[in-house]
Amino acid sequence: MTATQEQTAPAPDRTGRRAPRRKDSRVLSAVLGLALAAGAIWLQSIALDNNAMEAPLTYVGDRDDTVDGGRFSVKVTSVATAKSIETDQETVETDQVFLVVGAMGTVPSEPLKLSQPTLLTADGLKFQATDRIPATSTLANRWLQPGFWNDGYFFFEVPPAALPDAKVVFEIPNSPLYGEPLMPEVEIDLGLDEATAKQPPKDVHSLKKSR
Amino acid sequence: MTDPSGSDDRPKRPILVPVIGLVLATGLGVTALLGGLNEKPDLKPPNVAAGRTIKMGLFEAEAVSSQVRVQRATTSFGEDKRFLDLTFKVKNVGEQTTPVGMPPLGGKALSTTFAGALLKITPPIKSEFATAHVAGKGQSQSGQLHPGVASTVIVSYQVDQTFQPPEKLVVEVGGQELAEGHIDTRESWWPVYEDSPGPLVRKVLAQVTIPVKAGDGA
Repeated sequence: MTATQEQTAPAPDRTGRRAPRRKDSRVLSAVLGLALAAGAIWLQSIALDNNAMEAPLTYVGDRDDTVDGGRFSVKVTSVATAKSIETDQETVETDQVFLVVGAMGTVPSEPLKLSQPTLLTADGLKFQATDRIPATSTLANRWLQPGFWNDGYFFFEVPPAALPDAKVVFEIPNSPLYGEPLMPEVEIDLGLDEATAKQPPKDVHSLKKSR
Repeated sequence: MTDPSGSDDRPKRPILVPVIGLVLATGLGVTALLGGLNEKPDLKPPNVAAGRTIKMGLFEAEAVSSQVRVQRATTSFGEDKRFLDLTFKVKNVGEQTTPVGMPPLGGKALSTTFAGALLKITPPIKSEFATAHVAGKGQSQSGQLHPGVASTVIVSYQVDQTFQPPEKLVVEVGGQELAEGHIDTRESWWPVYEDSPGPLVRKVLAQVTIPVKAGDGA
């Protein structure tokens, strides 16, 4: 009650004082309103659409470069091809070719494990890392910790024609509870040209020595 | 007698209009009862022999053969297991690696995977467990179909000891199509469904006849 009385008392005074300026302020507020509406429409137009929201932020680099993806850094240290991979349990062969990518990674603060990476070929095909080699034999099985680098291998089974100009895309797992937008990914050019891609693959790439 | 006077003509007009209306309504009713104008029954899915390529959408597949396989027990207290194996040559014509999937086994066939498109087998195979894998060189198995690569896929239905394999199997194969989602508007692969209203039913693209070879477990 008291509050409303206080408000009603000065109100006629204010309107009375501003009465001559009313026409101007109406035009002004119309312009302001239009500007605000236009601004809102413009903001809508620059808002990220569904596709862009779901797309990751890609950090690009070359082989032997340390590529900082914000939440993790990766470096591809070696690239090799082989006809078979010897793991601790068995030797896995292929009719095509195994691409063995040696990589190391670290994180600035929060420990994480990399996901199995994807090979992006020159004609836009995406090969997931092969499941013929168990994930426990790859770098995806090792924690990346702040302060030091951890290294390991990733394996792809691809036709030899997919090798020239191929890139590896490293990602980190998204939250299982909610899809986080704008996840970082690191895309590293393996530097394979026609000539290096045509080199005959090794017979066996053994993992026994490295562990 | 037939005097065409204005007073005689008048009652005829109101009769003509309801008659035309009645004819139209009857025609419409009959058409509706017969299922409408645009409901020509679909052509029966083509019969495809083993060895012919089927374009499924995301995959190009070719049935190779079928046989009963026995997986010997590895321990003294284990039991031998029998499987009906269906062998296909499958090429992923999409842009990325897809999982090979699981046969639907009479359940809802809602997946875009290759094995998920093997809708029905006649004669029906009594099986409670079925898997699919991509064969590789040697013993190694994989669950991945890589883009642009033709690989051998083996679909295994576990059958009991009394199972008698038929001479041939007819497999109904469904398909996949690229479409935009309702919520996620990006283009992605979806199973091809019948147009009919009601619950989703996969459309049969082809019926493949696969001869059953005499395997070691037949």
